[in-house]
Amino acid sequence: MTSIGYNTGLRALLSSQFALNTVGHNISNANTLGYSRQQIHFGTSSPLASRGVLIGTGVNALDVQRGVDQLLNRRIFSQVSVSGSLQTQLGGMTEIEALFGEPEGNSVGSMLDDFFTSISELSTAPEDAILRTGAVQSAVALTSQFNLLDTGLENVVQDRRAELSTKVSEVNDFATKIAQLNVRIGESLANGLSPNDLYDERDRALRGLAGIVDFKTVQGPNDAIGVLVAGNTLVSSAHANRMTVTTDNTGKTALQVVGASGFVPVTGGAIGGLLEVSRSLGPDLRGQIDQLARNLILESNRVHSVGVPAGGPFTSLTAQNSIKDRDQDGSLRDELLSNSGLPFDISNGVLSVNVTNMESGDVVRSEIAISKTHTTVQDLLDSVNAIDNLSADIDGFGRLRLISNAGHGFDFSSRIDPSPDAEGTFGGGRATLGSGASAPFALADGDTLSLTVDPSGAAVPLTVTFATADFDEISEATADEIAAVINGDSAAQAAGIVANVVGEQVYLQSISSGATQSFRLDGGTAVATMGLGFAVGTTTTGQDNTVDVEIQGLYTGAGDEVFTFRPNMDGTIGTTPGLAIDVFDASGERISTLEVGVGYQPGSELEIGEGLRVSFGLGEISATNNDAFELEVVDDPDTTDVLVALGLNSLFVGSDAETIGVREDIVADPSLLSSSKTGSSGDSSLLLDLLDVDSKGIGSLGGATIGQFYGNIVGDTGFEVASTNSALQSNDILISSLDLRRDQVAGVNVDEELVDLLQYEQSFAAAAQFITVVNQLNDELLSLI
Amino acid sequence: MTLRISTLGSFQQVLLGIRGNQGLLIRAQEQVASGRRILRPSDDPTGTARSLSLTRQLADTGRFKEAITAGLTSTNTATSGLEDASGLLAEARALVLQSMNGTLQQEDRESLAAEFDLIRAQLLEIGNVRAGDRYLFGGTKSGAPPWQEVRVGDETRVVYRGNEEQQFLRIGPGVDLPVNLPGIDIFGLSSHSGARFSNLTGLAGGTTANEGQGHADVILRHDATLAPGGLPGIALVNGGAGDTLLGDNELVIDAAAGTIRLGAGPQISIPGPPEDLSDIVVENESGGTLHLDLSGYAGGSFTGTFTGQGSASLDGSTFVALDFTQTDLELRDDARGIVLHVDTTGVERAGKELVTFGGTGNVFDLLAGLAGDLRNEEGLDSHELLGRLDDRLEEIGKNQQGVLLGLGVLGSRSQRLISAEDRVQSVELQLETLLSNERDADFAEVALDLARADLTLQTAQASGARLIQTSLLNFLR
Repeated sequence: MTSIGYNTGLRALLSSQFALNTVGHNISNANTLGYSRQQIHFGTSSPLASRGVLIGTGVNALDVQRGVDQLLNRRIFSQVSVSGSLQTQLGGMTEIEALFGEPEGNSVGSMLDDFFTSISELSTAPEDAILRTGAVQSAVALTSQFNLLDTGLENVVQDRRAELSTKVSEVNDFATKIAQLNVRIGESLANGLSPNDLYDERDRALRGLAGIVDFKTVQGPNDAIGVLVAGNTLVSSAHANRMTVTTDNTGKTALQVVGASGFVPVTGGAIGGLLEVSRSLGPDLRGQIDQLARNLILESNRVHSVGVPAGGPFTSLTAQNSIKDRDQDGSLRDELLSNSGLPFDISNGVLSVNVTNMESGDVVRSEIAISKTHTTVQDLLDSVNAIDNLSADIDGFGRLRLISNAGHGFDFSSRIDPSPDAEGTFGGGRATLGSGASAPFALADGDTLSLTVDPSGAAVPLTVTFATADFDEISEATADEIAAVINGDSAAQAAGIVANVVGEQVYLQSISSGATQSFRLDGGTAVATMGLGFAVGTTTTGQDNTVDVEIQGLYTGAGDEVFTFRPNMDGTIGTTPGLAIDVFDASGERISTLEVGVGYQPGSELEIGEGLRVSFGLGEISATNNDAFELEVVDDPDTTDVLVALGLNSLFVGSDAETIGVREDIVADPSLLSSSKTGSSGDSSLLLDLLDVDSKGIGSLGGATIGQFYGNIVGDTGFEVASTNSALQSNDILISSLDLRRDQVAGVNVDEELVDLLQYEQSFAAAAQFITVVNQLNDELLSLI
Repeated sequence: MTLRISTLGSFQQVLLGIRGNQGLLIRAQEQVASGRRILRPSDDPTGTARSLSLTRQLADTGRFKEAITAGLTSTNTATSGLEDASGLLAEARALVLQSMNGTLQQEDRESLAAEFDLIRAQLLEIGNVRAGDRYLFGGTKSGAPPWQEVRVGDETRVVYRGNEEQQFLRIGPGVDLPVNLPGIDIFGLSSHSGARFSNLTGLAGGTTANEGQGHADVILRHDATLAPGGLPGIALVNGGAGDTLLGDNELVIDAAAGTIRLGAGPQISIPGPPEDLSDIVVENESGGTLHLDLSGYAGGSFTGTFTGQGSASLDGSTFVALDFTQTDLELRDDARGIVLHVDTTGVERAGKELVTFGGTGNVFDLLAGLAGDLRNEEGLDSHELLGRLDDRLEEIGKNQQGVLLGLGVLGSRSQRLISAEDRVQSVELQLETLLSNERDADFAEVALDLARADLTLQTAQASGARLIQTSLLNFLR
């Protein structure tokens, strides 16, 4: 009996001590994150049967259990992963947001405004050297801001990549720790122990891991927990697999778990956020900024490339962009121009090249047809070299180089040839006879034209014969083909007779000018076909007064046009009553009639329309002889973008935000900034066109203007930050409410523990008192002895 | 089961509350300090996009404003220049009228010539006036003085080196306003009439039109005089070398009246001895002279035709013989690009016929010509001089018209610019208001936010402090 009492008392004492210990453990860990409150469970110890009575033997501490809700834990882990991802995304996006410097810092937006403002300022006084330098400098500032933004974005992406390795090594640390804890928990369980603190530690490790990467857990034997990241086993009970950073086949950063094939598509946790920023958010944004820069380059250069610098036409010009040997055969020249590694696309169309005689001011316009599917680099070189006084070559860097002969300059502008009647087919000094019919001419093999040159003097007879071999199709002979036959005829050359072409008509002319020049059309079988019947037997003479035709102005019409000028009768400019010149457009529509008869002062200007003016000098013009000349005007001198693609006379170089810059020689010499379409110092027409780049909707930007597109990028970034931030906030609230619920089960309340403390302290005291009583009982008994 | 609150959890809740409220307070403080509602795009993404678009539009209107200011500056400079020019031309006109007074002495004319020189210099200065680096009256060739002096032969002429193109300013979306006046339209003679002759020699325009620039002198040279037969003791002096008559001129000696007359010229009395009769000059109605030696004249009436043979030249080197029946004689000066067709049937005397080409001369050459006329370097007689001055007067009138026309154009442009400025300013104000609404903090609202955040923070802190202080420990002794 006595021993039972002692034992009962001892058990009570020990149980209370255990309980006090547990309370102390709880109090101590009140501030330990992830700690689960432990509770001691008591049970009565087995009763003893004594003399038929079952006597209770006191209390036993059965076990110490931790209050935990595993389901809640798993919810928390997954929300922590979401927050971890949002947190890192927010970090990245906030950095990017700051990079833009909006709404009121130094930004691409404000630099765009500055650039177009300085262009506008220059347009009010294009001769002003200071404004010109200012415009170039603001272009430089704009491009450096683009570069800066791009570098900033690149750095954000690179920083995320660097951080990714740190985070992945943290993942590996956690994985190792979890595997180790799995082992230790298993050992404890084998020994029949309840490893509450190890469980807590493992939960803490899992929560830490959840912040970095999202995962699923699987329950293994012996309470081991396996960790699966996107289906890849990271931890399997006692073993942890290593995660590594690598790049996928698109060159983007990706993760791999050693031993598993394929990449791990992590979306949650800090790693998920880092991958989101470095794989899509950052690159997408860079892509948009690149698109912005690219379109700025394209649109600005489209305008600038067809301009003329302040100093007048170019004497030499080197392309900015290199042609690449795409087929690797060691030659650049066989490459298709549209597939020669140039940064911008080329389309089918026509490039106009003006070659100006610097002394006389005469402009010869040539057109180069460019086909996207056919024109090779060599074709382009050949076309340029076919132009008088202009040559082209490829330099060692694969860049096209154009050089004009001495005394000549070239440009690609839409300016007007000031003297369009170079051959004198309109009242010129040469004896001129135009065909009444237009090509195609239905000639037959052996058809002839017979002339007598200088009929009243030397009277040189001449017969030109047309043969099938001279034509592609002799029954549909073109004016050019006929002219080529006449000009190739040695007798015609010797007699001083040439042929020129205006529109589809053939003009026979004396090679020299003056009233002494004459020829007579005698006949021939081609006369009727060519509509020359009216002139058979008549002598055509030249004149001393040449009708000088001068054009002024800038073409303001839409679309390319060819105007043909024809007199309404025979007569002398400024003298013959009723003499007028009809102007026809390419479709044959008469658009204007210019009165040049009596009362017109030769040399004074007349309005044609579409921004053009013309003056005629003194001399005779003949409707009978079909006098005419053509004036070609172009709206867009380069419909092919070949200048932009090659980077000829470009303002900006490069093709995206990283490479955008201002052409170096323009920075060094701002006078190379083209401001006009004519080369006149006060002509700012090109600058006004450049201003349109700012205000026009651009198809490849979804119809937005450059400014709007930029505003959208900034707005979208702001929206991304704001929405990530609010998602993060609401998720954090969710986590804290989950934590609260977890705390309701597993949290330590110090007051509660204090109550327990008092409770167990009193139990302890009572147990001690019980032992004292039992002891006194024993003493009583012993004193009997 | 009552809600269990863990101690750690309650502490964290307190912290969370305080942190949240501090965030609100800081945000309100930022808005107050900066005066901006949007400090970074994420503060209001759509507001940011809108304010960026408004900023772009404001930059646009700023550009238009600058262009308008530049336009007004140059228009004003041009206007004041033209007003001065108009005054100078009025002065020149008065001076021409003054110099046509027949009583003037040569020295008076010299001093008037000096005044014309001065006016010309002042006008040239106006013609080459600059606003900043640009010459206002040079078309788009505005980098160099549009009116430049060149030597043509032995005289200084002013030529127009500008062009007739327009400079444009963008003063609104897609609105381009021409801003310059090509000087040739103002200081050039803008009439489209043909060549005009000074009516000195009787030379007139031919049937064919002419081509040339500014002024040209046609030199009509007297080559020889053919005397009729049966002269009553009179002879040519020096074989007629000093005569200036051209064409057929009837000489009538009226013995009864004692007078001698050439063509429709003035009748002069034949002086008697002891006067020297060896060189008597008779003039026809155009001032063509015939020198006669009357020392052998014995009296008696006579009627006969004297013919002045001559030739004409434009360039001073190639002379074409005149037969006085040519109605469309072509004279050329290829070096200066002049082709002139003249009617010689009315020619009666030799001399320099001043030809003015319509539409191509300019006021500077006109004034230089005036000064030259007054200095009379060509040795014109008063008849010739008056004829020339009369011509010049008419041209000054045309130039005044040109300047007035220019002033009118400038005035209407100035009005357009001012109305555009008004419009741009009101648009700018509107945009600024919109931008301010979008971007700027509403101070009343922000102050309220600030006060509210402050209050909530204090409450959170106070209640937190209370929560933290309450513990069972305080009561366990």
